[in-house]
Amino acid sequence: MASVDSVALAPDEPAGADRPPSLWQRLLGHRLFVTGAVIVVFMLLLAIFADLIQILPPEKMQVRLRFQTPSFSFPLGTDNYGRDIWSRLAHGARLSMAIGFAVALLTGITGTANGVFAGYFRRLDGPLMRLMDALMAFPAILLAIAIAAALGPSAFNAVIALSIVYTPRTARVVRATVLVVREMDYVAAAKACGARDLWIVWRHVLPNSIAPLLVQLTFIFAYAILAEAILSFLGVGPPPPAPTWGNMIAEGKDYLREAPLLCLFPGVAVALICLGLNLLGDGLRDVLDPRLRVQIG
Amino acid sequence: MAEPLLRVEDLRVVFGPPGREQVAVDGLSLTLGPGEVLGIVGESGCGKTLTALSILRLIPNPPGRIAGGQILFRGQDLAHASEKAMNRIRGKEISMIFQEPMTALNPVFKIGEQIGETLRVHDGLTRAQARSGALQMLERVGISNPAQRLGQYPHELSGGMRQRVMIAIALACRPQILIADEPTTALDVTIQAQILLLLRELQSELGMAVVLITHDLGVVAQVVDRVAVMYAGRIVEEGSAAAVFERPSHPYTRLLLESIPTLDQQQDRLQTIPGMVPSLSNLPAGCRFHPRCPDVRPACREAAPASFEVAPGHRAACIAVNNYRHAN
Repeated sequence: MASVDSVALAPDEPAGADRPPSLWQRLLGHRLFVTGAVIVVFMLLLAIFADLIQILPPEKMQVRLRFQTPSFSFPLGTDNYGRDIWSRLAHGARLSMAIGFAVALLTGITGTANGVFAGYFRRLDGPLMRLMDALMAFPAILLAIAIAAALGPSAFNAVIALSIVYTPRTARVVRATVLVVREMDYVAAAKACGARDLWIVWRHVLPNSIAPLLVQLTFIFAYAILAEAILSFLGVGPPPPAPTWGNMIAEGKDYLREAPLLCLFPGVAVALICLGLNLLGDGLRDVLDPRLRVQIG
Repeated sequence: MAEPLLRVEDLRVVFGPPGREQVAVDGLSLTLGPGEVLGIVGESGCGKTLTALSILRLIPNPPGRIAGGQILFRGQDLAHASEKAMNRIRGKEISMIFQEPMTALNPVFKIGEQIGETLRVHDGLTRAQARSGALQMLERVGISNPAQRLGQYPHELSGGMRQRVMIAIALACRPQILIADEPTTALDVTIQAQILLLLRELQSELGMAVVLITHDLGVVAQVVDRVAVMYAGRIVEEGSAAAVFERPSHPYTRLLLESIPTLDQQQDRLQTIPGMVPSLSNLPAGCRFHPRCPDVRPACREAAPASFEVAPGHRAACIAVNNYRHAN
């Protein structure tokens, strides 16, 4: 997962600044964060403007133009049905990003709810976290495949399956943070002022637990995209001819010898977005974690 | 004295699972009259803070709990009140300020919102009303540029300023009782004096009662009317500040006062009380101070001494109290 080396590579802050640099300045000064952000933004643009930059509709077949190598008219070539790979890649980005974002959002909600309640209300800790442990006991991908297969192959079901699988990881991170925050003096002070538990959770515990959650969610985003590609590859994701990256690799693998580019491009896309999100997350963590701030600032 | 505002009777606070409990506060009784400033002094770990927390029922449970006794506030027993009733009292009738102003404010909200929060919780004020209330409180606790401070975050304020904000939060709803748990311990000496002065001013202005918890006898001497000295979960001496300082009657109080270094005397070594505060798991039998007492007698090891009256309103829990009565 995240490497600690990135801290050493963190750039120097401009010395002699009057006030400490803002969060935004610190992020922009972090080389790896910026690299990750550029990759992610590029993929996002690809996803958003897929309809504008496509050369052909992603599912349009051209029987006479199969296995074209990259050329001026088909920059990344065509696949075994003569579909334009560039267009499919762009639309695949849309699907992958949408699924990744939905999974991050959903696990963000369920994981936070579980983590906050387990961490703050100690009586719920045992039951909730044992449930999370039970989910964690299965290998993530295997469980996702089982759930997705049981629900049936579709993008929506892939989101549900992946959200279930990644909720425990988020819940653990949030719970750990909440365990620290609930012991802070300002929580005791709020209690001494007559604030009720739910108010304290909402006003004091949640806002102060957000940083590690954000970092975790960027990693979940990356895992989800990777896992979605795996689900598609195995045939339990959005069914073909949907242009997901996993589907493209799955269809290309039969022609790996003759036309390796069919697998290469979507493979690179998956690797690139995961790299981008991981760099983004590492950067966020470096900047948001007060324990590492000394070394950076 | 008038009818007490708060009467704590025979309070017992224990820690740990049933059967293996450790007694942290043992049979503590005290009273607080309206508008009175009571100081609770003692070494670290003697149960001062626990006593304060139990009045607001804020002892973390588990592991701690109130195992016995009564806390009567205007006829209501807080030791057995419902959580709902307690939430109405906390911040509204009885407020508390904490030792560490650096961590007692939520770092992600502006201080205006944090002062207004109590007003919104208890008095049902709107955001705008709470804001003007917060502004008034900031003026009252003597913060410069209060209007501008409302929009600042805690990290932009100094320690003394934060403690003033904490006081503003605690007093926003005009409580009857303010519990101040070592409010000056984390501050510079010059700021300490300012904060104490402010507390004293606000106390007489608002007519509230204050429980001031501290281990700093200098603080006590400056501001309190009455003082209770605690040792290992019990009150060993109680009386008016003047009486206790002039005629300390429990050997512990006497040694505490003697260990304050003075400037006018050449001293090679600082005076200390030999030994340590006993741990909760290993409390001595009889008088809890006897292993450290310079004047220990066989009877001290047998049974806990009752509280003897030294003079009207001045009591000490020591069987040798007569020996000290005229010692000074």
